[in-house]
Amino acid sequence: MESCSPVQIDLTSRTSRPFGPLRGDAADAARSLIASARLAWAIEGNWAEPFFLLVYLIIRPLAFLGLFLAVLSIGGALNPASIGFVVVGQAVFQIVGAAMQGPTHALLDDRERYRTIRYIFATPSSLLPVSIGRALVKALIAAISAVIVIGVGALIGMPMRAGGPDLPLLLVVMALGLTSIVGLGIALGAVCVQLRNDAWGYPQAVAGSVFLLCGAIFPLDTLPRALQLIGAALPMTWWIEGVRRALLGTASPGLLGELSTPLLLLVLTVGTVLITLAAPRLFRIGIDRAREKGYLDRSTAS
Amino acid sequence: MAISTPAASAAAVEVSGVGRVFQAKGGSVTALHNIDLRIEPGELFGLLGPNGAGKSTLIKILSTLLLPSSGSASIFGLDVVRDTARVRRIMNLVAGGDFSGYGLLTAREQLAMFAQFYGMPYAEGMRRVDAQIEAFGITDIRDRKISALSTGQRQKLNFARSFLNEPWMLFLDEPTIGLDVSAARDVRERVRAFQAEQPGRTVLLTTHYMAEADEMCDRIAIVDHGRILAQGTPTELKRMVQKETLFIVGVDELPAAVSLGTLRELPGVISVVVRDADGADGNGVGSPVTRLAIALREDAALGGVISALAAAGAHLREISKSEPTLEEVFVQLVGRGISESDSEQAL
Repeated sequence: MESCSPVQIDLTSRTSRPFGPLRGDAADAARSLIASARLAWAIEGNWAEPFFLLVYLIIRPLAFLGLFLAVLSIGGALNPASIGFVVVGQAVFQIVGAAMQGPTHALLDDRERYRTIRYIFATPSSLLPVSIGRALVKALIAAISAVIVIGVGALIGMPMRAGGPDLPLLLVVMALGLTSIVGLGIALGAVCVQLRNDAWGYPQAVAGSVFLLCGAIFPLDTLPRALQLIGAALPMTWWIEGVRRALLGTASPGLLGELSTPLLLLVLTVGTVLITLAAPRLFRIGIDRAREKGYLDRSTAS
Repeated sequence: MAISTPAASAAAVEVSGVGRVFQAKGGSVTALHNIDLRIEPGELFGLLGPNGAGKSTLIKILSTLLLPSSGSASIFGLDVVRDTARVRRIMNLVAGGDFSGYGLLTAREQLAMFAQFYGMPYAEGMRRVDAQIEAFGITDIRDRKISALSTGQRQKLNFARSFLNEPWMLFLDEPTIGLDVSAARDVRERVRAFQAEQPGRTVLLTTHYMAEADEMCDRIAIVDHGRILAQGTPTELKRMVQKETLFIVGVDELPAAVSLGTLRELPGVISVVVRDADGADGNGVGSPVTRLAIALREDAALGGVISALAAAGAHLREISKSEPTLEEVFVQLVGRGISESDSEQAL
């Protein structure tokens, strides 16, 4: 036992950042984000199982697209404009769903399935960049589905913008939209990690509800007034509309379509900034409450 | 700031009045009642108790996973509630029996990921990863997927992860549970070596394996129902339940010239009884042995007994000191055996 002799411990070097030239919270967060993104690429991609990947990436989104187009056809509303509306909505929502569910699934996977959350939480890295890294890769993989859906849409008569997609607009709305949705996903994860049971279903339930409210498959104007207001408050509503304008060159029918593109970008920017400011705080509160309740590393089975 | 942490100043672990209450269906459950504990730098301290005693709860609080309901705790002077970022740089933990890990990653990839979470640049991280893989003797599985590893291999990998940041404070929560004898021994040896590499490295071990606690720990606290019932070195704890010293003395046969009564009258002798007498060893080989259980007030009284036996012509065949086990200490303090406690817990 060494307790009798004085022990020299350099607390400053050990408790600050003792490694390498990269220093600071941002560098540490970036390193954690990249490491977790690599992990997500291995887990979410599951490239070792090409058949399941094929089903997940191609067959599932195209099956849903076919279903929506069939419904339009039965209602006698199948035309190039409606095909474009549904295709873009369905394509972007692939990314919305993945990015929104990503942080929650990362936290719950690590808690329930991989049982690693305690070891990650006990590192100096925050769970925030770890969750974001996992969500971004999910969104990236979903983006492959989105591109496939849009490609199929173009083949079946979706009217593309004359002169090709408005790439600057597309890049801006994609960046803003993705940031805001990951932010919402982070906030949702902060809620779900405080729940002991049945937390898996919440992100899917929320994403499903949002799907109906954000104008992905039918215009906002068709909703009751109260739901229209909720839909207008959702960043994905503006994101999807921005993508439609960038790809199709036309605005959606109804109220949303009457707004100018700069105004649409302004609303999306303001919403994204607010969510980006609020999400990390909500996440910290959620994690602290889970820590307080004792649920942070407590699996449902325990 | 290089600070000195002699025993009189910053403790490796300082726990003061820590309590923890969980809200559960049907009311609250108190897992810890006002725990006070001090562990010095360099100690290997054991928390010994049955399942549900509160050992893991205390470790979770100290490793920043759980907030205490009351009281305060610090690691090398850093508060585990307010100063979590700095605490996490100097500590690590390993829990047993949870089969953690990302099945699709290889052992090396998983360790590399954790090195990144500790903020290590890639080259430095990989250097440490490879060093730990070698230290734990798991080079043969470094490129194997975690899903293909055995329980013992996974736990060694878990230990390798916990050493990556070269922690000053290592929390081990039932680390050898579910491991075979060989893997458990490897892990214990590696923990000892890790501690010996750098004075001041401190280990807090929870276990309900008495032999493990007895073998590894400098000091032990016996915990039950969220309370520390006793703490001290294993020898001190054993002394608590045995006030006298017990020796087993084997002679070829008890000479007629000396009776048990004669021996009992010697100074410092409390009692003498014939414990057993056998004719030979288990194979029928050897000569008869009569074993006397002699309780003494102090070790020094043994000399008188041996002299009396020798003077009477007895041939001394064996002599051993009988000490109570930690299991006996536990039974006396808790009122039941640790396995009974676990059975109750399971019910």
